[in-house]
Parts: sequence; structure tokens; C-alpha cells
Amino acid sequence: MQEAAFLILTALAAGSQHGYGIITDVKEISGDRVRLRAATLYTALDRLRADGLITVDREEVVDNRLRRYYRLTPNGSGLLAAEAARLRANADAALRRLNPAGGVI
Amino acid sequence: MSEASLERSYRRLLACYPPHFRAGQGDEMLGVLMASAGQDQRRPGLLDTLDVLRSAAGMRLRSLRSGPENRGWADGLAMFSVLAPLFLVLSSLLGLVWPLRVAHIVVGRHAGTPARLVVEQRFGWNWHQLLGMSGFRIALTGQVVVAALVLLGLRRLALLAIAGSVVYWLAARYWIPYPLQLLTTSIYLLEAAALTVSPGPRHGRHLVNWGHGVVLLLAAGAVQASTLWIHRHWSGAGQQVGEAKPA
Repeated sequence: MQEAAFLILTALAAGSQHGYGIITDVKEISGDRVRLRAATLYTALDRLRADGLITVDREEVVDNRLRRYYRLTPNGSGLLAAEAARLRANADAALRRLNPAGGVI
Repeated sequence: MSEASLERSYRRLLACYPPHFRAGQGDEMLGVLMASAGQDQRRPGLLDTLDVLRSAAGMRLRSLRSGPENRGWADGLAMFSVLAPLFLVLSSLLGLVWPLRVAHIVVGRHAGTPARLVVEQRFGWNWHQLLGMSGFRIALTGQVVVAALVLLGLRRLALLAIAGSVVYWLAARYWIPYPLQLLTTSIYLLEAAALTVSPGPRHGRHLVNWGHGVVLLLAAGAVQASTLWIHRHWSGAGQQVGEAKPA
């Protein structure tokens, strides 16, 4: 899974979000390291929807502009959990090899 | 005022997306673009513009591959991606068995160009005798490899093989009679495009039938016959037909 997709799914794990909310949340989750641009976001959302990992939760109009909220599907939650576990296992392995004595780095 | 002109600019950019995407998410994305813009921003930033153009190109490509509105084109390109390499192989094989064998390399004014001489002097390679094979046989082998990869449905490897064949042709200054040269170059270009944008040769393979094979054979025969005719009537002075000799 690409990092952008992982971060978008993570942003939606806590609840439904609209496009701009996902952008600001991803920025915060990544510690200001990943700044999604609108087109990148909507390309990723389009794919995630096509793969059945997210779905539209609701729509509203704010200041004459359409705002669409997205949420994770059960498939999306499952895939995010599996990916997070995989990343954690990899990170744990790397840390163990960096510090064979078992202490905290 | 600046907000209105910024919105117009973004709308123009969004026009690059396929219609079905614009209809579904255009307004929503416009809202995000406007929300992400700076307070006094009057026109889209360079990085945002490039991001939209890249994303729109990707969506159009995907739409061409799988969009319901482009199913006819997608099927046609997928079939072309399978049939075109087979056509080239058939045409070359007919050139091998044709009584006057016109599909041989033409040694002319292009032999011994500086680029070729540098390669030969530096690496000691004679491109026309690579691996003990003549230029025509190497080109034919390239065509067979491309056709085999396409039949196996290996799209990326087929693209690599096409690139390799083109590099060989350019490096070896491998020339064949003009109609075949033009036809082969055009087919390789179209084949590369079809492999890139179509749903792929695996899809095309399921659409091809024996009737297409008969049409291919007839077309390859017609090409060889017309090449022979053109070569007899229009070939210029200074060109010889026959296998290339080492420079």
C-alpha cells in the first residue's frame, strides 16, 4: 500500500471526513511531512472507492460548495489494520536488529 | 474578484479530467482546491497545476482502459496489440519465402555513419552480424520475441522488447525497403501506444478468432506483393538488395 493511501485510510479511521479535512489530518498524522495536494487526494479517493475500501458517508453544501464526507468500509478497516500490523512487525524487526541487547533505542 | 478568477482558472484545469469524473467530483474537488489556496492567490500554483494535469492524464488513461463509454475503443486497441506483432512476423516470414525476397537489408548511403563507426571501433561490434546472425534475422527474432510476449500477455516485457528492437535498428542503421520500413515503424509506434493505453493483450487475446488470422495472412501477403512491386518500379540507384556484408 502506498503511503498516501495508508495515511488517508488512517485519517478516516477515527470517523468520516471531507476532502479538505483529510488533507489537514494527513498533514497532522505525518508530523507535517506529507502534504497531499487536491488532485493527488482525489486520485487516491477514486481508487480507494473503486477498491471498496471507502465509501461516501454523507454530503452537505457549505458556502455554496459541495462537501462530501467519506468513511472506511469494513474492508478498508480490515486492510488498514493488516497494513498497520505489517508495518509494526517490520519496524519491530528493524529496532531489534539495531539494538540486539533488547534495550530501547 | 481574485477569488472568482482563481475559480475560473481551476475550472479550466478541471476540464482536463474525464467527463464522468467532473460530473461526480468536479465541484467537490474545486471546493478543496479553493480551500487549499492562499488568501490572495489569483491563479493556480505551479505544483497544483502539475498535480492536476498528472492526475487527469492518469484518469483519462484508466478511463480509456476500463471506462464503459470507451469499451469499443478499448477492445479494438487490445485486439490491435495482439494482431499487430503477429502481422509483422507473418509479413517477415512471407518475405523469407517470397521468390525474390525483397525484405532484406538494403545497404546504401547510411552504412558507415560516424555513430556506427564509433561503436564498432570502441566495442568491436558489427551490429549486422550480432550473435552470428544477419541483420534481417535479428530483426525477425525481435519481431518473434515481441509477438510471443504479447501472446503470453506480458505487456511490460513486450514494450521493453519493442524499445530494444528500435534501439537495435537505430544503432545498426538497419534499413529495409521503404514501404516496409515505414509500415514497421508505424506499427511499432502504434503497438507501443496500444500496449500502453489498452486493457492489455490478455484481454485482446480473448477477442481474437481464426477469421482475424486469415485476414492477417492476406494483409501480410498484400504488403509483400506491394513492396515487391514498388521496389521493382521505384527503387533508386545506389541501393542493392541482399544480405548486408560486414562493413
